[in-house]
Amino acid sequence: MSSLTDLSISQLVLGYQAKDFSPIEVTKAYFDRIEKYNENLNAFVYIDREGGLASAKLAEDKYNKGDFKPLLGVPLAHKDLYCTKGLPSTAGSKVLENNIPDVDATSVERLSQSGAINLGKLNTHEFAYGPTNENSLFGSCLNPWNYKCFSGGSSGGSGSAVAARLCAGATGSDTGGSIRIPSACCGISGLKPTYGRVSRAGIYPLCWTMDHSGPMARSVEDLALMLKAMSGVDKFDSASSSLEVGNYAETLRADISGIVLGIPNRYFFDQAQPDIENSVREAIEVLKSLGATVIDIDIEHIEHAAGAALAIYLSEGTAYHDNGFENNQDLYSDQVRGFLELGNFVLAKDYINAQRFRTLLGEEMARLFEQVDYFITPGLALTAQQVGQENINIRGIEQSVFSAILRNTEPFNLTGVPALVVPCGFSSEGLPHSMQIIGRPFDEAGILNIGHIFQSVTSWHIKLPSEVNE
Amino acid sequence: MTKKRDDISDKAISVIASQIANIKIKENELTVRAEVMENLTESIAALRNLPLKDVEPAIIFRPILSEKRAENE
Repeated sequence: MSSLTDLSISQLVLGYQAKDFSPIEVTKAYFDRIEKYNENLNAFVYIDREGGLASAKLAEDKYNKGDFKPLLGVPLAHKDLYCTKGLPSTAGSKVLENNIPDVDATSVERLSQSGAINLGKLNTHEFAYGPTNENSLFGSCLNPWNYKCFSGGSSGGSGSAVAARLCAGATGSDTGGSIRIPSACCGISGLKPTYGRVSRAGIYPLCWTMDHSGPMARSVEDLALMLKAMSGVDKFDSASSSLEVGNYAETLRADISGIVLGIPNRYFFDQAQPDIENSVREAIEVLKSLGATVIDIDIEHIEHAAGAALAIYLSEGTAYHDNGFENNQDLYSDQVRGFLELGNFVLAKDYINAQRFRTLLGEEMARLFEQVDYFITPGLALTAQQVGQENINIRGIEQSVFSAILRNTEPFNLTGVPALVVPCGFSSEGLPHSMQIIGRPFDEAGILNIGHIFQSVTSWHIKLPSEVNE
Repeated sequence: MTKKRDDISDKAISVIASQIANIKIKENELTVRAEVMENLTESIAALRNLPLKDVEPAIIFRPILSEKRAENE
């Protein structure tokens, strides 16, 4: 039998039911790994050993009584941007250093109701306002494939902890790519669902109209199980959708022959690191060998996505933090304080133009989705970089790491369509590459189906990171 | 045609921050902030040249029902 911490969520649940091992044994195995590796990774910022073991005992009692739930006894952890009742919830900022909420975020509550165990809280870029997780009250979160590199962010603790087998799955949030970026940097699977699919209630906002909540796990099958538990209408989130929640785990194995994949070469491929482009094109060949048809597409106006996203999150972020900023500004890190200051300079007409651009881009994507079923792109244009590195040259173009890393993900926050990243290769330095699969609004089942079929014939997603492989 | 605007200066950043946002930016940070803002402003201002004439913003106003009434409907 493989190590308990290598098992997938579905394997854990089946093993508990068969009494091959117990929730207490598995939870202790995870705490042992946290003790061994967290000091180097800095993924967990609060470890709830007492609460985790108490929940494991309750789960064990329920299994003994035959009282099953979909995630009963599965050890997860939550991004520190999520409110957790009675546990520190700092958003990675000194501003909330002593904050202990008296309610859970809706997703935390729903995962608990499905039987999941909470092992603790995970590092995040301060207030989720940055894509590297270098900047947090607790210090940088590091990458289990190379301790010199960042984990990606803002849900960096989630990406690092899941990849290093410090928890079976984790929650994340994604405003410009904050689920998909650390998933891609750390070589795990991450899903940004459709805007409105998963409640944002109880998660500290970065930007109301672009914030998404979603699951991060090692396999697509695990994402499907977590998504089902997290999804559904929520009266505390005015944007949440009342559309029926799918049975995502049941539709994972559908035949993908006949599906049409659109490949937007311009913008997404032609400015990615060449070895990333190669890995993603090889992954596309795998999908073709399974019966998918591939056609080239072009997303008109895509080059303006970064400008529109900037106008929106600078404006909304500054509006959210405005109350009390005057008195608290020294509590923010220099980087986040700088962004919050800059938000004061965006003109109202530019913010409105950016929101109009979202309509334009959404209409363009809808038009393309009449010709193809899904888009495929590289998850990111670059691999994880060394902590502190500010600029990067990709194909002769010098750019900031921040803008390069957001390039491929943030267009889909603007249009709110679902997007999944799955690992699909490695650089010569041993850092993960990933493929992004984008679908029509609320077609989470479709993109999870493609991701799962890909993972059923490849093994990129089960490789153990080199720094935590003793 | 709109006149090409001047680049954002340290002074402009300082004045707008203090008078509009009521925040004081440290003297030694003004130049960096002005440079960053100039780059960001360029990419944001480029949106004005897009074909947005008949396009409504993605945020649509929704009248709000009281919670009690919403539950009844």
